[in-house]
Amino acid sequence: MQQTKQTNYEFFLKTDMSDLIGQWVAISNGKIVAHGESPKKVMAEAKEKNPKDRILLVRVPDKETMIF
Amino acid sequence: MAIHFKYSTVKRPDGTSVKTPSIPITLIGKSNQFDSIALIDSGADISAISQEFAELLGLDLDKEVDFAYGIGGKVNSIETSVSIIVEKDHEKYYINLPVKVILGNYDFPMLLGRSGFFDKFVISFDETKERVSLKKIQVGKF
Repeated sequence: MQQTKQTNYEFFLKTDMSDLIGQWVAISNGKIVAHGESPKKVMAEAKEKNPKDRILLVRVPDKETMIF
Repeated sequence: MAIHFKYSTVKRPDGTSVKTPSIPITLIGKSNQFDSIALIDSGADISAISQEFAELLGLDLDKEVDFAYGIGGKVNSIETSVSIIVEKDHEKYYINLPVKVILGNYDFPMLLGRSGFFDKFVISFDETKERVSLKKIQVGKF
């Protein structure tokens, strides 16, 4: 796995995101760069701040993640 | 060789935590390419993503509207495909994955269902070690 992808993934695994449950979170260079309800808006904000960097876009799951 | 991923843990305000067999993937669409975390769902026939997520990627949604069924009931969906990369250490796999786009204002992380994914790997869930393992099936190419 590329270093930046691995760095972002490890940050996601170890970080307490309980304040962001139900939100989309963009992680870049091992830190949260944007978060919110819309993945489009979160990605746009993250790209504006970090246009050349790799971005991990995740949704912090609700207790009842819906299964279709 | 198998690749292993720790379960993702999300702490909750009430002090409990939720652990899920989720793995890092790279999603490749016409409009965007980015990394995300997908939940491996052995109970799902096919992978699923939300409409807004599909639009962000620029997936082809110009297809016939169908239905998807589950414990959430019956919802409108479109079946399309998305390219993903699963990788760890020195192993890297490109997969063109069939996926159902759930239409409407549903919001959920990408679900990796069986079709087109579980036939690429032997997938093991180890609840005691809280990890999921993917071992490439050697028959054929993908």
